[in-house]
Amino acid sequence: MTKNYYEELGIARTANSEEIKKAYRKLARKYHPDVSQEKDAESKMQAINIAYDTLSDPEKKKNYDLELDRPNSYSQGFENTEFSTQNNNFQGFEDLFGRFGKGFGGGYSRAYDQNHHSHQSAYRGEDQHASLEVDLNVAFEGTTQTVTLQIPTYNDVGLPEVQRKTLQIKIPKGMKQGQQIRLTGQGQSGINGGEAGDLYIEIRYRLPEGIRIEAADIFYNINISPWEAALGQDIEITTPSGKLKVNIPKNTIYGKQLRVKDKGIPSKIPGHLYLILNIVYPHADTPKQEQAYREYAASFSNFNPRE
Amino acid sequence: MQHPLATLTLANKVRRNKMATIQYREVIKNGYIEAEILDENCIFDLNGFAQACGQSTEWVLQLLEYEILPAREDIRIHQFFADELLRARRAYRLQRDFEASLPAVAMMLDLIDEVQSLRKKIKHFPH
Repeated sequence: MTKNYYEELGIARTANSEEIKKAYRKLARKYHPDVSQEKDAESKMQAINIAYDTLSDPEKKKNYDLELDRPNSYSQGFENTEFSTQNNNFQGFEDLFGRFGKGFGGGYSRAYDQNHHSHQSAYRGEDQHASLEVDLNVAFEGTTQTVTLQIPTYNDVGLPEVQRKTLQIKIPKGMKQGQQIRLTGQGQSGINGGEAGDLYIEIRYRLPEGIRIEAADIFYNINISPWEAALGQDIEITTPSGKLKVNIPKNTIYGKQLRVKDKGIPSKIPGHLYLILNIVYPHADTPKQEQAYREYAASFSNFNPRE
Repeated sequence: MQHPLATLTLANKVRRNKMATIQYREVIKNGYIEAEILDENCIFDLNGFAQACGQSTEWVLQLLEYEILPAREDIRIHQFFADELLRARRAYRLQRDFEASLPAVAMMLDLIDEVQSLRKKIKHFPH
């Protein structure tokens, strides 16, 4: 069931402005997408911003309270609105509702006012920003993707309007982690014949456990056995860039990094693939395995790991 | 860049809000849109960067003053790169959502950088 704005902020209907602000600050610290590790931080923060935008404004709050008291007379505002996506990985615009009702981001409030004073100056639409999370294989193959997004704007007669825009986007291979693409003219519409703003999309890769990316370099955990580490061995591994044969050097230590040149993300300057070697020790579950460890210890009787 | 012909599906929905009637308009663009990749060769001038940030040029210059964007040589003081756009947008979000001053934002960004770096590194150690 959809939460109302009070529930979203975890406060009572009787909360005063200080309590509302306090609740918002607390939730912002927890869910701010720039710092939070919560899984749904971005959508949660958007919902919190929407709720706070209304409840922190006395006039909006008054109207919202009326609406809550007479649910059949009014719609429920924006709380049911979701940043829609066909792929369930498109992050909504960071500003869409947080600044809704305050002039759609500042620039247009001026344009809107001018419009209402019969000045027909043309204004360029604002640039918009979003992020798109894709699988790591997109870095190697590229993809085409359909996304649906919502852009606040004004219509021809100066009234607020939200465009639900569906775009088919080609994402080329070789994008670095966090790299942006620009779609010229796909941002906010212009006013009075002004040109449309641009749409910037940050590409983020969805990474499985044990992989991290820094720019175009991929860091990838590889588990090896103690005997592969001690004796050295050629092993075959499956990496994000395909199957590779790798030589594990003799006496490899835990955490050693092997660089495989140019096997990272194939950007204009290709990144490297760094294999981080993690030695995994098998459990001694059977008498035979226990005996093997005893023989192992006997062979290294002078070895003391705490010295 | 190719721009496909736009097809507007006028399935307008009207949702009532207390303050204003917000109209929803469906816009469906047919055909794939080629994206322009913003790489290290993409440089913004001051006005273009401010526009992309949705902020004023004065605000952008303050980012330099508080070293939220890295200090630069005089020769490129008004040149900005695409990755700086992400950092500037992040600064803006922090400033807005926490009502933070720019010196506070600068410190928050430094700490976020450090935390992110540490989080990345611990991904490679078994818990």
